[in-house]
Amino acid sequence: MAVEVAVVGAGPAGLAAAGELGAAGFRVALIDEYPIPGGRLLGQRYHWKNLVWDGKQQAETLVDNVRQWHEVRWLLQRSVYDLERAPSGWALSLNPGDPSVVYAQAVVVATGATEVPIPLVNWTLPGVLAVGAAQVMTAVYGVAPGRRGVVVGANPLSFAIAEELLEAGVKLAGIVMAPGSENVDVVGSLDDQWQRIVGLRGGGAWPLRTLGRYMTHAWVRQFLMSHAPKSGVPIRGVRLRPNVVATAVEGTERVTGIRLARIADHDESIREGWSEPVDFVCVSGGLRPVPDLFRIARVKTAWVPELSGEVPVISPWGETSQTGLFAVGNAIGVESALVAIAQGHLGAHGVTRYLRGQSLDYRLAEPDQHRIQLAREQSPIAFHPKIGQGVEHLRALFLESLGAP
Amino acid sequence: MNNTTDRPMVIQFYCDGEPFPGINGEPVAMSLWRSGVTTLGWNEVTGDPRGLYCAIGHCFECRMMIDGVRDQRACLYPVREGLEVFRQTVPTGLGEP
Amino acid sequence: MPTHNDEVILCRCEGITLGQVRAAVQQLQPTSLRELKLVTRLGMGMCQGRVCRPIIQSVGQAMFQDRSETRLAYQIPTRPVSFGDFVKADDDYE
Repeated sequence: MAVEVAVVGAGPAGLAAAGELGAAGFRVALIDEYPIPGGRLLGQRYHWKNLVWDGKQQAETLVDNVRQWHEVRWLLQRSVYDLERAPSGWALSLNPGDPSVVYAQAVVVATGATEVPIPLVNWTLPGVLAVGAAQVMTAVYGVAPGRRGVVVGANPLSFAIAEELLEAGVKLAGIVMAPGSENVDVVGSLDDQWQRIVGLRGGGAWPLRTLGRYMTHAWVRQFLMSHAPKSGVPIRGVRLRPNVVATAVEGTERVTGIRLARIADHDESIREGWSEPVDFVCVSGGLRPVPDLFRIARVKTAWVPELSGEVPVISPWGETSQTGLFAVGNAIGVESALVAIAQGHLGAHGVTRYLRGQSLDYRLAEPDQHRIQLAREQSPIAFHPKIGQGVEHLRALFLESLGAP
Repeated sequence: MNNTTDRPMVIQFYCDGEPFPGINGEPVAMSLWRSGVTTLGWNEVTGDPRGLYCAIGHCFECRMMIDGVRDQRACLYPVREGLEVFRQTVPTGLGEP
Repeated sequence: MPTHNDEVILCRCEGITLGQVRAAVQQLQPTSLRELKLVTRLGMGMCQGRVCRPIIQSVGQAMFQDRSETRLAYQIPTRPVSFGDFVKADDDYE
């Protein structure tokens, strides 16, 4: 199959890009491995400033917009497993085939983010889920992950999904901290985790908010967090248990319980251990951008902690270091769906200019960049308190790359 | 594109030869979980039971033989009337499908 | 912080535990994360490291002071493909 643009990923960013490209009259292939378009939007349902953010509804609006353009071909339930240069632009290999190769003059990579795991003893048992899986089950398919569960790992994603689970009538033993060790340290020390909790935005009733500026001092944070009751403190109905850490999952054929331990305040050593009955466990180390296709296509990437991981160095139009290869959405940094949609629009405008041979002068991207910034400010969730710094860092790397031979 | 209509259609499919109900178009793993089947296969190296983990096609833990093809992701594969799915690497003692 | 038990699985696909990694480091003395992957098959299973990459990177940092988070290689296919499909794709390639 030959198209003008291939969009990889039919989540908020990919759908937004495909809609704009369809409106511009391009022949587009929109590819996603999931059977239903919408990506992570499908499970999102958050209360926010007396409003409800209904991701499913948002996805439907975006999908309807794309459907009116008949030059957009939908290729669902297909994975892109290779992306390489071809004489006319790019060749994308698909599995299952039919078509097995899509040729495109330009590509928009909108592959989103994936979850960071928390390794626990016995975490391969059926009933241990990435927290996003519990969201998909509950919100998209109406399947309860269990009767009573526990969330291991405190971050914006796990808080939002814990709220959703409670609203769906699923009981939770709370959000407990992730373990670490000298050899395996995925989400950092307990105090690293506490620092991130303190930086959380969007929790209206967050009781620690008023203490926020004192919590920047390590000793204040450590004193308050380690003196919280073992049963935790309620945050919008979710019990955060800042001094309780999960050490193992219990069960033989499937999850029957979780082994927890209280952490001593001064040296983070285990003080006591006990078991609580649960029939499912959600692990959550947060989200990270998916860099796979960028790396395969030899795109220049950088490690930007504020954007939650490895991201491509991109121009203000969203173009990567490989001409004709654009990147949008969570694949360029973990942010809310509102930001991803705005990035999708910008990327589509960049591709339009590229294919029409128009200038990609970065000053011309300012109106679209402004809309992204607005979306960022309006977002109910910030996945990192210093997103702005990450975006600036990425821009500096781009400008630096212009000077490089 | 997807066969789900506004009214969910209940269908019957087969896992290891046994009949199970499902809602037409939903992923196989969701139908099985609703019926209490959480073990979708056994790891080839360790032999321990595995099930749904990421639910969005990343982890391949839910791989099953579906429509006669091995290693299909049950979290993505839409269920339909009469569909045959099998759990892989069944430990001896539980009986081969 | 509580130390992970040696039995904790780091790579779900290949079922590789922290204990196995420790033993491999002691016996085979790999000098880099890449070598460790080759001797243990850490992150080389069905998901191609999609799940365990952050875990492997943290092991690399701890054991080899390897802070090059972004430099672990990515291989095609990024998704498992049957050999038949792979050959077919090659035939379709003009």
